[in-house]
Amino acid sequence: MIKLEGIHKYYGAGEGRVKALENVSLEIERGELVAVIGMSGSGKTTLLNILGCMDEPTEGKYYYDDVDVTELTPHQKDMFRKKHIGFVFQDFALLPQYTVYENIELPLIASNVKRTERKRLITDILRQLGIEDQRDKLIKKLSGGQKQRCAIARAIVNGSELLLADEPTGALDTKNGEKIMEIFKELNSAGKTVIIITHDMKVAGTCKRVIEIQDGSIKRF
Amino acid sequence: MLLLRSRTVIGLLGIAGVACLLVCSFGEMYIEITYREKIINEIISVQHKDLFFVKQDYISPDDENIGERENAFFSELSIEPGIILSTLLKVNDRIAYGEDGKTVDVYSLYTDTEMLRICGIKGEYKAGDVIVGSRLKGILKEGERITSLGREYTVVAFSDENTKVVPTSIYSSPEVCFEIDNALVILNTDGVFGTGADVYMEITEDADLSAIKAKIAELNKKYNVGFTLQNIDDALEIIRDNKMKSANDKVVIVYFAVLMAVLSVATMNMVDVLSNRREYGILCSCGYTKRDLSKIIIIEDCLIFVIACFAAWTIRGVMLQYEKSVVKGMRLDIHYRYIHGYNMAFVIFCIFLSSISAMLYLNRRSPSDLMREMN
Repeated sequence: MIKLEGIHKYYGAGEGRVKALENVSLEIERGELVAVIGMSGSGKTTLLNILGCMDEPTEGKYYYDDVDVTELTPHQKDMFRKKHIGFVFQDFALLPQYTVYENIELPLIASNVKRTERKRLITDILRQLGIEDQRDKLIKKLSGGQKQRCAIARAIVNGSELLLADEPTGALDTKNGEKIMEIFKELNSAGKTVIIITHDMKVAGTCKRVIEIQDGSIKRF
Repeated sequence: MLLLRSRTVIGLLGIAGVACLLVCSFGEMYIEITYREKIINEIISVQHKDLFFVKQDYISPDDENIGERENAFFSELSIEPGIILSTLLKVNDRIAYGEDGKTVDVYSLYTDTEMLRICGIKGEYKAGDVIVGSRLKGILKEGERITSLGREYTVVAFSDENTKVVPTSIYSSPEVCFEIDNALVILNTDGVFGTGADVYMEITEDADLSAIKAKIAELNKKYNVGFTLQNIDDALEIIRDNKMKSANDKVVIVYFAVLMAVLSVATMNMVDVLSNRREYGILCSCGYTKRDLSKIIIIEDCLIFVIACFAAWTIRGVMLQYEKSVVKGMRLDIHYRYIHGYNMAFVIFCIFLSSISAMLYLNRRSPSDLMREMN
């Protein structure tokens, strides 16, 4: 499903050039639950951004279902991201001025889903994640665990098959962190490919496979 | 759907509103220019070419004897059969009429030919007759003799409220018109400022123009005044030039103001996008494409400009209603009939112009950049 070949990523140019990833190659099959671990600054988030088409590699090839993503135009990459990928961030990345419902609605609006269908999908996902009673609350009134559930709901409401989570439990207490990991496992069991960036070995231990990055290179595959 | 930029919407609205008001003013000015141009052309078409002006080319110095010297100038000039009106009246003079001696101010001077056309009077009339404005209709009767400034006149006709008198003012028809010999005096009763008038005279076909000019130059020196002789074409050309010069100045000011408004809106758009980079990044992570983001900016700008236009249109309308109530004129009709088509097109152009920088910025940043820069 996902294949990276010789991915390099550098920021800046000339003497000020900083290496983020160096010659990263890996393969992830559909339906896997993968943890990417590494120290801070090791290149985990850069890898996630490249996988999610939020950033472009300086060198190398990225294949998704045999499609060469690196060859796509910027607009095609945007469309690819819209169709296939959902994101969950450590700080939730929710729009605080909107309600839970409105935040979850964003990907559906981007995909031109009709209002009645949007309502049905959001109601289902809210129920699935146990936050249906928070539907009309503003984000700032939610607890950390509720916010992360909301972020997960937003990431999967559009039917994305690849879920990319950047330190999803980093801002949560242990109990809520465990609950969120349970949700990821359930989603994985339902067929979604989940890639979790973390530096927490406990979290990594709950995943089926662990990839370790050190100084921008894959150390453990 | 997404007013991400609510923090600066009020500021944007304010700027856009000012821009729209300026654009409205621009449109109104454009109409006024074309309207006046039309009037000038009409005058040319009805005037006979041997009508000349003695034009006052200086501002009367503030000395006690200037009036006497001017009177003496015109007395000595004495060109037959032209009558020098300013020996009798000048703009802003106050004259009495009727038995009770009510006073009115002179605000314009017109030729009789012009006034006959304006008042729609056909047939013969002779020097010494008078056309009286609608305000005096209930006071004077046709054929009645009246006295003004020691001269006696006969009332031959009345202008009415619908009489269209436009050569120097598009505001309203005059309330009172006196015909004095070969020219008419339009009297101001509303306190509307006069637009000034020159002295008209007719010169006989065999008159020696160069001799008259030489005589005027000589008398200018003698009485320390500054009059010149022009024919109707010259005079209208000068009027047109003055109007266009004044209009061009306004156009430059308006363009500059609109340019500044567009730059301001563009800057505020940029500031807004910069301060909401993360929000735009989040939208990208939710599946919004760069085109979707551009659409959001354009839609929001449209919304802002439409609201601003509506506000500007309302404010301008109220102002014009007030103006109409003061001047009792037709200007409001002109405004509503012509302005908004041009202006809306111009405003739409401004929207695109002011949105471009923000859209370019977003298009050149990767979503991860947008997310990262706020962290």
